[in-house]
Amino acid sequence: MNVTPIVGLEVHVQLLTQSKLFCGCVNRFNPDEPNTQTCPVCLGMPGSLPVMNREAFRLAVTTATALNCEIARFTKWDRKQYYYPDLPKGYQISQYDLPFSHDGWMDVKVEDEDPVRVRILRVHLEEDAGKNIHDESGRGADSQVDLNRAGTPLLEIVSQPDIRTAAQARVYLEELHLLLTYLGVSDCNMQEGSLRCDANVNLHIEQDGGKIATPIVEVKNLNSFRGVEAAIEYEIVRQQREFEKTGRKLGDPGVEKETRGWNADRGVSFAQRGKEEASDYRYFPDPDLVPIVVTEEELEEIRSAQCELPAARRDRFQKELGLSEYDASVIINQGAEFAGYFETVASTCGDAKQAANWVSQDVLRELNERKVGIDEFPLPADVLGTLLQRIVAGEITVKSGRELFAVLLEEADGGTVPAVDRIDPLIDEKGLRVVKDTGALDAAIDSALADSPKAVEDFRAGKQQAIGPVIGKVMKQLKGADAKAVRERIIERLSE
Amino acid sequence: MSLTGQSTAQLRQAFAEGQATAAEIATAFLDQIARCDETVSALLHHDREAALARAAEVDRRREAGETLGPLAGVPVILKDNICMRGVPTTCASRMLENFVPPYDAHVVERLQAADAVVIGRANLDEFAMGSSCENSAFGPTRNPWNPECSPGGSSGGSAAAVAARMAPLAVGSDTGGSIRQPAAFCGVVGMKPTYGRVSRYGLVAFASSLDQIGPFSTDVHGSALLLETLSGHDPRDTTSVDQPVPSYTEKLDRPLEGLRVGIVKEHFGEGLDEEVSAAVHAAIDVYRSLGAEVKEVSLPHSKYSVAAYYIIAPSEASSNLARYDGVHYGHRAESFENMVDMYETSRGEAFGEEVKRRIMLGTYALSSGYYDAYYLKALKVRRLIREDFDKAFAEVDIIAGPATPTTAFRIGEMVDDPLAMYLNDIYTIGANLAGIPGLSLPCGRSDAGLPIGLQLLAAPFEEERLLRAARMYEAQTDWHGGCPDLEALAGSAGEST
Amino acid sequence: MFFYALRSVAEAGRFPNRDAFGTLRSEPDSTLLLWSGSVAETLTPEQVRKVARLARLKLTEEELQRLTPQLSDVLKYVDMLSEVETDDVEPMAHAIEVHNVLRPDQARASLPREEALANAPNSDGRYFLVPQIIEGA
Repeated sequence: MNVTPIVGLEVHVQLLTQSKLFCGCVNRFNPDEPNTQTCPVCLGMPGSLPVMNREAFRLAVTTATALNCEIARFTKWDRKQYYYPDLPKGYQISQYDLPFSHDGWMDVKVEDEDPVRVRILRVHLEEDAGKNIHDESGRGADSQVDLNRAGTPLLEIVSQPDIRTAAQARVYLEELHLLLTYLGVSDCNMQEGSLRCDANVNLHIEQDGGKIATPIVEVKNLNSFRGVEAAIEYEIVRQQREFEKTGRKLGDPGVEKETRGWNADRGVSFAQRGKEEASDYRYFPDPDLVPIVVTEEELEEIRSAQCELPAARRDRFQKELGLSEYDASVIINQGAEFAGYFETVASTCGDAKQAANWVSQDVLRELNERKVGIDEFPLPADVLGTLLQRIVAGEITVKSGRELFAVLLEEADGGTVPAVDRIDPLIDEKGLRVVKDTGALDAAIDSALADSPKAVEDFRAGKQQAIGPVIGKVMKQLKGADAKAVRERIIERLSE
Repeated sequence: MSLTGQSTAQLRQAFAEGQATAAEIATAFLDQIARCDETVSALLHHDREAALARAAEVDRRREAGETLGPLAGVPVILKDNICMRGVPTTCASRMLENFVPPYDAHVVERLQAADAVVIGRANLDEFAMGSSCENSAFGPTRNPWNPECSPGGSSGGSAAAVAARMAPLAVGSDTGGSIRQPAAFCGVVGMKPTYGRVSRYGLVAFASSLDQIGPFSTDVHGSALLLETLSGHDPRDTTSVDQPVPSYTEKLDRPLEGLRVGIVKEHFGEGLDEEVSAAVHAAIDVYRSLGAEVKEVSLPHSKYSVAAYYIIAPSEASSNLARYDGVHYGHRAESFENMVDMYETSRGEAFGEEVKRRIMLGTYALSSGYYDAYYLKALKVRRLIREDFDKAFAEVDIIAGPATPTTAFRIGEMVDDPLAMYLNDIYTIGANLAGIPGLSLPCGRSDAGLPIGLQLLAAPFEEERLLRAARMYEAQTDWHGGCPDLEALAGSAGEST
Repeated sequence: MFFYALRSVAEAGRFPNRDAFGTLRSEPDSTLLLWSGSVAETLTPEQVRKVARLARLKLTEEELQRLTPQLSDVLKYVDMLSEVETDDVEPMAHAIEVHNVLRPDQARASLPREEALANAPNSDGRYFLVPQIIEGA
């Protein structure tokens, strides 16, 4: 049986605006003080009216443009009607038949696989609902409703069902996360719910020369990258078993789209009771909001203000800076600031490869240990770049560089952020400058050889490794010496 | 003359010249409420002390030499579907019986900035749905001209209050004729401005694309003055139009030269009461006598306006009233089985029959499979209705006709026939669908002594022309001076005052 | 005049009644269907009950019996719209057709919590309270 998973993702992302989508209440995650960020508009009070936030619309168009979408010249707002306590008006202001953007794409590349282009069906703008807090104790206490989140601008990004593996789904979400944070349109904090994902999954099964589609299942609230991958993996197996058991397929009488939840702790999906009449949202144009017409000039302004997107930057790092795909990805995937840090280091030291090694290993290790982002890393990029430049120029060894890196960090942590002009004095203080004065080197070698007659004898007898201790002695005397150079000179001297 | 018998202009003058204080004026009208409202039931609630305190504040500020607003000391009654901070706003519904808004409607801010004194809250058909005030959860308002009759609706309380001289001015809202029809029934001036002229912020929505706030007054000047105060751009309502507000009073008394008056043949067909028809024809003759050119225009799609309206308005209403679910405000049932049952029971208990009827109609019209046949179709017909008006106003300046097919009907006469009640709005609904301004002013009385209203319509944002045309007629006649038998109203309430 | 493109346009084009995944969004509910061509038929109490459920309105049996013929009457009356030729007519959703009315992204003070909760039928002083929600119900 040949089984092809068919997966589409529906991603909701909160936009980083000062105020909510239709009112001036502050847009901030604040579950600790419920119902303090509300007003007549987002409480849905009688007589209140919505007014669209200009910045939310701009961020929305910026995002859709970066997702290669077509931007509609005319767009409008519709009411999606259903009853739920976190939806104070009894309808959500959303977009139905004329979303502001449609038909985009994003490339997804799973490591060691060819890239896959995932088409974006549509991106539309809507308001978020509030939050219901349920009594988990089973004692049936009242549910609590917090409307701080109600009316937060929310972008819904709907992919076409172009995803074929769980890993692709994860990478799609990771890449989207990266793009949105690059653009600065969202903080994409998944713990706080700024980025939420639902997956539509079914299978195409080739059987007896024909192709059968299994019923579509929507798995809701996949709120981590691992969750998306795990839930889809789980569903693929579950749906195949289900099909083998029941033979039910898409389009069979009585077969409807199923909604399932995901239990991340147990790693299983579970059936959710379908919302009654959920399919009849009675969409109609919101008479309180007027349409938006987007002009070519406005679009051009947004296009020209757009920063380099992660995919393009990753490409440039490989093509222009000569980084490996792996290095480029490691750096890009850390976010725009990290990539910016890397670029400064690379341009200061003049060796992108060297810079990539240091940034993706030494710097990243420090960040992980300190549990901070690059914005909180104490060592300025130009200082690290200058340090690496000294290595590139052969003025210090890589080993000395590591030592100095630790010293510089220590100084920074001590409260004095080192500047570029700290590098050379520090090299000298520590005596780490590579000794290029052959006289001094020869003197040190001579003295070491004189102290080690046994080693000299053994070497001459053919024991190459016998000069190890001699090298050690020289290095002890000349801290900035390059071990390789010392070794070569000793051999030269002994061959004279 | 007593203060309550005076027009808004006279009251302003009396206040400005120091012949009466705001407190004296407020007291006079509050006393009138006390005398008459037991019979009329125009008001749902009022706070005498708060009104007097507000009036005293206006007096204090005058004594301090402050510059006061254009409605300083003038009492105003507010329809009870307009939010006022800290004051109950019930919409004449059990649903909002205990609702106290934490904010002021735009028009309330305007009234306060103009130093008006809000002295009471007027009855209405529940959520402004109705044409008789019988749909109020708190009992019907009675027509001051004949308490057996309806004052019309939905702003029946506002119209009756002005007719019974409980205030010189009142604020109402008009979704399908809810200002003009009660104005006609109660023999006062009532006006629906162009959609977008007055901010809807704080007006509890019935049908958002049709609702518009407007004035009631004893004479045209009062409406012009109140409209000046209420109008203007409000960034909180995206459908509020950012256009300058002319002074409607400045040139009010100047007759319009070469006025072209249109009469619509479709307005004089079947169903129009003969007395109403005769009075309206006589009014049109007055325009002729003033040198106006009267010509016939056609609104071929006007016969579809009630049908289009009773799809569009209930559809929007079904959505606008979804928020009343007993969660964040409003009525919640005492007992229920679960959350869905709580919604259904709370709404089932607290909404009256007409509100339920319209929610049902609108829910049906928007439900899947019917959207195109009902809602979308109605929106297309709406455009044709608007285009009819555009064509007509290319030929004439105003359209004159009856405001209602009949004079005030008796309370209870039509409650079992909603469709017949809906058809009562046949002449007024077109203006809401098209978004144009309309005004009703008294133009006669039936043999039974009930007022007859003349409706004037104009092109969008032609309020100034509309008011001047109305004033031309008013200046030639004295129907607006007519007043119901207030002593009888007071008398029938006993000697309680 | 600024023309609107509402669902009629979409019907011919991009998202005809389908949801994000190309599945039919909302099949006409055959048990509600009474619109056949231009002639409206009579609503049954069962259809009215379904609409009431959708509108979250509890109707008594008496109300249901009264409402059913009344709604049928109105629907029969509005059926006259079907005789109007509207093929080339753009729907008119707003009385005044303006566009691009937006506000600057500025935060301002919210209501104090006591005021936000003041009208709530049930609250614990921090949250609105509702009977326990069964997730997905």
